[in-house]
Amino acid sequence: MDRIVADSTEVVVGHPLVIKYMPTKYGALYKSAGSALRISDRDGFTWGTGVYVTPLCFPISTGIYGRAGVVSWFDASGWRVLDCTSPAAEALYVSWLQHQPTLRDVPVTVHSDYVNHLLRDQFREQFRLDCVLFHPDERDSAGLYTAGGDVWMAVGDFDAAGRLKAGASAQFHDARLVVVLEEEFEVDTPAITRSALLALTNSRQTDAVLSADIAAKYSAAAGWSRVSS
Amino acid sequence: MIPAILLAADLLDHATDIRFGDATNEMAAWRFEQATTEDGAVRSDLLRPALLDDRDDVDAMTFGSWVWLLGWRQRQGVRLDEELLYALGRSASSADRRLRLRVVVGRDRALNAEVGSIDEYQVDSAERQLPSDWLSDQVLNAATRHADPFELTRHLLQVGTDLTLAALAMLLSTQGADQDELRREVRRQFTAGLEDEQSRRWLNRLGLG
Repeated sequence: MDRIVADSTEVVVGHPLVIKYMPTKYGALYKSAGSALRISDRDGFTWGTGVYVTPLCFPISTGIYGRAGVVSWFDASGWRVLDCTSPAAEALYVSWLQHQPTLRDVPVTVHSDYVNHLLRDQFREQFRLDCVLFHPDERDSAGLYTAGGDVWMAVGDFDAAGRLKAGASAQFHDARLVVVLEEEFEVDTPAITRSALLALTNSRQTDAVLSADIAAKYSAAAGWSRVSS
Repeated sequence: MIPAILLAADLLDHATDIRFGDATNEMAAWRFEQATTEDGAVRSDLLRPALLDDRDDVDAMTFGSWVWLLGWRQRQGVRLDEELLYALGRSASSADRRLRLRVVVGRDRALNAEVGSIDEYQVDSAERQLPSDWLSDQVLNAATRHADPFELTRHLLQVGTDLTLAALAMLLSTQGADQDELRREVRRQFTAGLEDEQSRRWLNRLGLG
């Protein structure tokens, strides 16, 4: 986490930045500052209820989810983080799962999405995990946007009783549309990859150059970073 | 039927049906919250203690939309609508749906406050009543084999709140055809691999000490 914070911190803002990609019609809601990032609370997300973002040091890793990149800053001081990019940390969750009464419902029913979601939320609540880091579990089929070693974040908001909240997140600040991708993706079958529709390039862009440009646009609160295919 | 439900149904469907995609789900939820903030009449309608005029009104929205709305109402501090729970229970034909309802009830803050700490809950007192009739009926149905008592036990343990542990204690103390086996199963779970003191504490909580 320390490395992510260091690599994603913008000097003028003074805090690390994250980016969340979304379809254009929703990205437009973030053209002016003041909107909060939303907490994803329905079934099917990798680590349950939370805001799913990528540190700015992986600037287009989640571009597969939409052309509009919304940038926001966060303060990780005091966070409890589980780094599931490490197999040992991932094994802690798997070990915890073995003791859960409803685990048997996952492999033997067709309704496993909800049980999985519940278990992930309960694990994060039990250990009060503000953030889980994990490697991408979905990518672009050409490998030009998402690399296997990238790190994604699932960040939770807790209420006074230690329960994960829904609604607007208070963990991220000054969310604003900063990046517009030229490329757009559609889900492949099976849905673990997404393919570029324009596919005008066959080379991966340099993360450091893109990150610096995005950070500069964000801190200046002016202009958009346009990322060509 | 409350008119606000008819107004909200489409938005809630977009907020909960995964076929619309993540972004649509999230933005629909956002628009719902915006709409209920801006329109006081709709908001107060949706926060009424009782949402149904008739149990058949439950057909106005999908199961997932109702459960989402129940969660939203809980966040606004509204007491659970038990009539709605009974109506939804009729369509809870899968373990997944039954678990969803039990989670909504089991994690309800007000109901848990009424139970207090399970460690101080008098599980063997005949006068103890659960604060939710719906949950009491879940226990009764399981004890009389109208529902699967082993499934209910797993769900109550998984939710693991003071309320669901109190409900489990009630189930274990009730006379019924499967109760001996249930008690053996729960006792086995709380003795295997636990320190004696931990095991004793858990069995006491559930009235098996």
